[in-house]
Amino acid sequence: MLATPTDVLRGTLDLLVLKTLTLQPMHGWGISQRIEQVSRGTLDVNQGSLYPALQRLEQKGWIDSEWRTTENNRRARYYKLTGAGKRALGNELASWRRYVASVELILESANALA
Amino acid sequence: MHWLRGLAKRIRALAHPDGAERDLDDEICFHLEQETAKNIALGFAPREARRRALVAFGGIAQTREQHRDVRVVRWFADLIADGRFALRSLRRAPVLAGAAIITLALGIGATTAIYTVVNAVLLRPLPFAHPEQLYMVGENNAERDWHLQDAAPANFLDWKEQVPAFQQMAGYADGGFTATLTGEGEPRIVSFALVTGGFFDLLGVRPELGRVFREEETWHQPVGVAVISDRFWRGTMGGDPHIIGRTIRLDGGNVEVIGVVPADFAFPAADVNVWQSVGWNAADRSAIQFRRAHWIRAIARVRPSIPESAANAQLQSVVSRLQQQYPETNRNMGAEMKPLHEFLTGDAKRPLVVLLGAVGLLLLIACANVGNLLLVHAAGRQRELALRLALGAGRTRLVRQVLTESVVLSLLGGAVGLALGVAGVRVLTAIQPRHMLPVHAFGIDWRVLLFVFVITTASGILFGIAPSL
Repeated sequence: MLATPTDVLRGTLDLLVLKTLTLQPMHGWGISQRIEQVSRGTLDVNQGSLYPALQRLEQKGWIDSEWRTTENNRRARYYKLTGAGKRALGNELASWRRYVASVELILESANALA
Repeated sequence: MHWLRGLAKRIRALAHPDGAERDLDDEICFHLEQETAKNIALGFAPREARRRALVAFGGIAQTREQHRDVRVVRWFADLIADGRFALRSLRRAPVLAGAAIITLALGIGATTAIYTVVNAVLLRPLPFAHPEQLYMVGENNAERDWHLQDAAPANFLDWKEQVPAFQQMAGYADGGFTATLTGEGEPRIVSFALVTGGFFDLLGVRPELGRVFREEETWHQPVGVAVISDRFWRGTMGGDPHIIGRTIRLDGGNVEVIGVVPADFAFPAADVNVWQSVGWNAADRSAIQFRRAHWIRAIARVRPSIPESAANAQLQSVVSRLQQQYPETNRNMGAEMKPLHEFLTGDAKRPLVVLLGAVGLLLLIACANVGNLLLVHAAGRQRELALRLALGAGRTRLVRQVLTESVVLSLLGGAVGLALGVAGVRVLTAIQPRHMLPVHAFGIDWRVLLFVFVITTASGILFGIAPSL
């Protein structure tokens, strides 16, 4: 059976964006490509939904943006992680790991019962 | 890639001309360009490459909308949009809008005018210093059916001197006296009031020019000085800058002007232009006539820490002592005290409340009429609403939009109504009974404005709710 790309869980998009921006400042399209590449296509990020998420993160002060010209001399908006964003990423990662661990735990114990 | 420019233009045309929208459009445009270029590099034909880019992106309109939701508080943006839409649809139905606005304006205007009076008369404190300490003290006589009547000067003086709870006490004659002014152009009638020396101090009134009476001037004879109103000074006396010390002729006698009181002071009546001292003769103090003629209105300022009941108990003990001391005049003479505000507004209270109720009903009727108009109008809009539902508008969203329309309508009505109300207040000020209240004019203050705003909005919701459902 062919694996269909999994919808990005609500709220995890923020986490992915923050994590991606730890590498370097990027524009929206770059972020979407990066997420697609790294997840090898298993995560289907609706590219359009990226922009409201970026706006939300910027309002929280976790990322910052500025307009720059690309190597092709095209104006693009670049996003970068702020100090608050780095700290937030730490928290989000920790809570994500707790979440995964507890789901894992439940699945394990369900297996044991079965 | 000229087709992309076209797309960008179209997106921009949809947008409001504000920076954030434009920025987002630029971003989306850039994104699609990049994605399309990538697809072309992967070997797709330009047309297919662009199609794939659009598919991968998802709904552009949704993105823009979600972006806007994050950016501005959603309901506020909706409200502005609905307000604009409401104005446009009102412009399309000018007769309906005009009729509704006029109907509402009449209702709101009448309510505003009456509420302004109610506010000035019943709700606002009296325009005196610490008005809550002020009490009207008057004589009761069961035999003659008197309640809180004018006092005999001798009794007034005994209360003033013997009731320790009264910090200050002053009297005035509530007679509507007039005198003839001569020597200032045409002879004319001026109304004047007689007051005891402490009158202005008791009420905390400071003169805007010169001075007010001193306590001992109660006993100065003959009465040769007067305090005048701001209106009399600016009008009849031509605003003479040297008015203090100037002599005017009243009823043929010379009177020196010693002070001018501020324009907002209008006590005991709004038309009083001259205040003179009662000018009692100290030798009369023991004369029987001084205790037999009842013509002084007495106001007491009760000491701050003393409750009304305690002050009244002291007053009653003085009264019974006077009854024994002067049986000839005081055998049946009691006394009573009442908060000054209550005394002054007592007569006006019930009619005002009734009037307010009446104009309130009028406003309700206006709302019902406008509601009917809108209901008929709404019936003609079924298609528009059905179309919007089909396009995915939520039911609550439509209700909100129709309500916004009616509130916009009522706010327009309220604005016109406020203007009508201001005019109405002028008329009411001009025709107010002489003793309605010791204020010169019924002012429109923040309380009135708040009231108008609340009734206006409430009206809008009230008459809008039926058509919206």
